[in-house]
Amino acid sequence: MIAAIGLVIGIVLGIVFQPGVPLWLQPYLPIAVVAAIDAVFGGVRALLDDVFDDRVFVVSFLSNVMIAGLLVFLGDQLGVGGQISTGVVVVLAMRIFSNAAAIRRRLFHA
Amino acid sequence: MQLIAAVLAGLLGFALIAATRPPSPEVALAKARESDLVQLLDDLSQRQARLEQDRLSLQAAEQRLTSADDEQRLAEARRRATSLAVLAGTAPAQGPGIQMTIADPGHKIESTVLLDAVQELRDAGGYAMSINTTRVVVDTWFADKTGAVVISGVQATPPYVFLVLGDPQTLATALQIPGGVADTVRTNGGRFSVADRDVVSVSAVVPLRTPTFAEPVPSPS
Amino acid sequence: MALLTSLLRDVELDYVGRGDGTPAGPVGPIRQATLVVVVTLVGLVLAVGLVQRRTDEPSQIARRAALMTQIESRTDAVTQLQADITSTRARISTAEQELLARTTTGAALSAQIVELERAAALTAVTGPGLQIVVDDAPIDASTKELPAGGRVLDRDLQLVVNGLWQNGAEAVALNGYRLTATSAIRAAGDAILVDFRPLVPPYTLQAIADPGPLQKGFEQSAAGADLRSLNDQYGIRWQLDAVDRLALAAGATGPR
Repeated sequence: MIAAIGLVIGIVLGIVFQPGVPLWLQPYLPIAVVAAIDAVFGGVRALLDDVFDDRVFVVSFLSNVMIAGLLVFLGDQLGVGGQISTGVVVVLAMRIFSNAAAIRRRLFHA
Repeated sequence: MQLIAAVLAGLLGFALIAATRPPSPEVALAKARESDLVQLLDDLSQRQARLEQDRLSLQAAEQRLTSADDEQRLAEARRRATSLAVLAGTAPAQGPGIQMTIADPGHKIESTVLLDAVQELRDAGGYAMSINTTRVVVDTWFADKTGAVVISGVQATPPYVFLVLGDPQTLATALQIPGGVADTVRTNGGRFSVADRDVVSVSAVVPLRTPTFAEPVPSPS
Repeated sequence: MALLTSLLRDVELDYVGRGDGTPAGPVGPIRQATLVVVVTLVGLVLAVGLVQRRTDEPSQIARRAALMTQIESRTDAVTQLQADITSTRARISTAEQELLARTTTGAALSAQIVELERAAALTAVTGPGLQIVVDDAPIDASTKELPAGGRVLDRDLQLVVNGLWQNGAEAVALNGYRLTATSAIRAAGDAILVDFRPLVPPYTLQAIADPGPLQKGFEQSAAGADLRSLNDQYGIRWQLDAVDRLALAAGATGPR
């Protein structure tokens, strides 16, 4: 559907144009990438479970990225940026795992 | 399915064995962060430079020895004896260096802080040092006592004044790296100060002792 | 544990819709467009991250490789220098003794130099003593890694060496490297170094002394207590043995 096409377009644009990331944004890129992966898995799982809601998806992704970024920024100011970054990645990774497992169960019944 | 499980189990066993073998020195460093490697390289380079200096002067000494008359040889031997005595701690020494003071108003600085400081100073090229009235040599040891620290059996009370001979820049910098001696002292409620000097005079000495159990091995030459 | 389970539960619900019958797909062009834009953004972020990583990694790998090569070559150079210095010193020593033996002042000076070299740990020595081997904690069978705190640190070895000197050691070596007045035990990352040489566990400390008193004194000292508590708390292994004859090499650092 439209969303999937949008995702592909985004990936292609990113690979083709290779936009440079400004230096001040660099530390937040890893977090954003993990949040993006999380969004994809979360969205796919919601789709498969027939509970996908486009508003929830949009708001979730944007707020996750912003909150994660804000946490890391605050953490950097307090001197614990590395640790907070790790914490955020850990939580997102847990959710990715959980969603991936659900998708797997749904698709392969195993 | 069972075959796959068996193969996986075999891989697991292999991985277990591979992981528990002692790593080579290269692997020991493989997990160090890039900044650690840079620091290590920096230290190694300094060390190399110092050793090259040492080798040059030793080669010059050997040269002088073989092509000199009695008078010169005696002078050369006296010079070497003095250098060795400084290293062994049996003679006083003078030269550029630093004076470092650790004040301990809260009486919380333990002997491990001083031990750590000595290691750091040696690492940064300190070749002769004293703490309060005690000369620091290879077998200097530290222990704790209420309100004071014992250095090789001699009680030392704060403030602890270190006199160290060596390159003042290198010594002062090494003490003040993040997480280094200066930080440790301040975390423990002490006060740290360091001043570099053109002439530091280490006058404390240790007596020359002959070991009872360690016997020299005749060197093959 | 309750924190973890509630955390997992909350985390799980993030991308899930309300499930109360409200339409699942985007209704209306605005919402459709927003969805497409955001999804495109997701893809863009993924791609940019991937591209960044691919361009970053080669240079990072190259930098590290360059550093390691440099470190190896300098370590080799340092080893060579130390060997040269040791042999030159030995030759000087012998030559000096021969030449100075001709005069009485010379002979006395020569004898003094031999004594001083020994005091400065610049001569190989042999004698009875103690050998202490300290090793990291055994690898945890379930995580296949060292348990937390199970790695021997430079300060652990510093304390052991301190305990040996305190109880009468006359000469000490760590993994074969003789300690002198300018030897330092420190760490770079996970590796422990002595005189800038990286060491690999297990760490063997050898000390020449009267074995009985040294062993007794060491076990009762703070260093002994420290090793026992490291074993209790973190599983760090250590073993102490009296040895009839130890041979320790000459130290390689020297006077200016």
